[in-house]
Amino acid sequence: MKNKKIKGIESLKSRYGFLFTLPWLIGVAVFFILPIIQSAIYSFSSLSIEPGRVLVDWVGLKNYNFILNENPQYINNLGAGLKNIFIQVPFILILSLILGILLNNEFKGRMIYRSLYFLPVIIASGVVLNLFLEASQGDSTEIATSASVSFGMIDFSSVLEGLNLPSSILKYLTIALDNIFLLIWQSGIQIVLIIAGLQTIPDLLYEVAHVEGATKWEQFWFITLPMMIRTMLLVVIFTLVEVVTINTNPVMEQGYAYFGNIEYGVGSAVLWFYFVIVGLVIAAVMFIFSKFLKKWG
Amino acid sequence: MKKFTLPKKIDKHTVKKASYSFGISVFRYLFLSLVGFVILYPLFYMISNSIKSQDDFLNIARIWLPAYWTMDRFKEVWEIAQFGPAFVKTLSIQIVSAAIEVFMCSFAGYGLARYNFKLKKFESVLLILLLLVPIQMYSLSLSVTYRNLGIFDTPFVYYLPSLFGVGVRGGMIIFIYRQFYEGLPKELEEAAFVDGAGPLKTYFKIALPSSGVVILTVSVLSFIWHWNENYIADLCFMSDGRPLASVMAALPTYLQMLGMFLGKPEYPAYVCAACVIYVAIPLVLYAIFQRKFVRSIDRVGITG
Repeated sequence: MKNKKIKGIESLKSRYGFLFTLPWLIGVAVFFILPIIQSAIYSFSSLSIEPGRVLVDWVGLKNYNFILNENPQYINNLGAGLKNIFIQVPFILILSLILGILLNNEFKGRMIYRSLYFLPVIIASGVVLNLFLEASQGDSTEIATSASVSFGMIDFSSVLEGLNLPSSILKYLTIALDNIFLLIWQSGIQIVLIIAGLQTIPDLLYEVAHVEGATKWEQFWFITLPMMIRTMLLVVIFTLVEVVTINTNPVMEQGYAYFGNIEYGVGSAVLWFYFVIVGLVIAAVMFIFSKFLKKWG
Repeated sequence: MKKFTLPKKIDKHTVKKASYSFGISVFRYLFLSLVGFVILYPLFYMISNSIKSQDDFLNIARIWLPAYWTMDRFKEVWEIAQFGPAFVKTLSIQIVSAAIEVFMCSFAGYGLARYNFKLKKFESVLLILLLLVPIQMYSLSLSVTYRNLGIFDTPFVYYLPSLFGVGVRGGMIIFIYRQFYEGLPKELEEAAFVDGAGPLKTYFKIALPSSGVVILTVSVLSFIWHWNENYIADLCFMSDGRPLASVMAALPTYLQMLGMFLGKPEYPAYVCAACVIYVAIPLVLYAIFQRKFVRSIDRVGITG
């Protein structure tokens, strides 16, 4: 028998751990990393599709030059797409945080309300949501999904105008209310994640704070929020991805339009440039959160 | 003027507190009901529109309840859109894929949570990337990969990625598993390991039996994400038999054309009827499992 080096239990375990994740690692390489690299190459190329294969012709920065300098629509769409992020993400975040906290406490009829609030998770992840928006736009009764119509006769925008708010906040609230259905229906998973996160905060902390005489408001700022920071990061990222990739996003629409016209190179460039910017936004968000994590985590 | 004083036994503090908590609970019911109404509104809207007769649908004054109602639309749209075969496709392709995904993703989640190894940091970064990068970004090259593997236009475009844990939102599913196993006490597994059980045996005999909660959560999510998945299907299925989500996505245009052709201006009502059928199936399942699902969310403890 050869003199093999006897390995400790830790190294044995480390090998097992690697083996557990190995199939997934292969999957990621084949179905994720390679396609991503390929699509980056596409964005620098002119593509022509022949039956069964794709011919790739390297054209350098031509596609990017086209969308950024020769196509004025793209910059507009990009601006609108990024504006969507800054309008929708904070709204969804605050709404789902409020709803999550309200639903987490004990109260009568909690089960009924909770199951009601899980409905968007079940129904609204995709196809039906788009269909509903389309159906309500195209039908003869003209019931649009805007807040002013949906809540009966109350015209919310006129109520808001009466409140004498600064115009930037007013504008924000009006846009948010006009998209209220979309925004609430998109908050499903977020509410689930926030409730799950709230459940992990030990009751002990609240009891101590109560004994020390902290108000509910202080408890929220000094216990709930710091303890939820990791969950909030997950929720923010999830929301960002959802908002960024929804079909109604103007940049996505433009990209799909190019794909439809078999201009895959330009379409890839449209999406890549967009997602690089979005990636920077996400990196900035993660950076800010990591500061908080260091402080609170 | 006589000054109002509180009775001695109930001091000011208690009254303030009681009125405060009363205010909170009023706010809670009001706010939850208002948002709840917004959630239910589209459902009522779809149902009401799909049972209106043609005259009622075209009558602007009839918003909610129809004067004459009809159930024929459900049957008609079922046949026009060929829901039957599409439903079979969804079951045989996407739901099977969801089952595979739920099973296979658990290994990666378990490995990442329980063991320390060299590439763990790297794999965690990969997991975050998988969560973040949307499939739209690399869908064309992905379809080329499928072609090269010879699985394009076969059910394996769902099965194979699921088998490797990168199926529909695989990143999210692995993430939830990882968070769950990190919170699960590991003493039992360590004891089994010391007693000579191999890692796979430990996993199947000890870890898996105690993860019913997370499996239920993940199953519901995976089912619903697969049920609503039409992006890969639209991209990769060239032949006629498409799953339900694909059929639904193409339905408005199709029905609009058909409506013009047949002279039926109420085609959106047919879209609504189709939506009701499409939503009813997961809703029935949800009604059966909701109590367990809602509870299980409490206990999974996703912390991020």
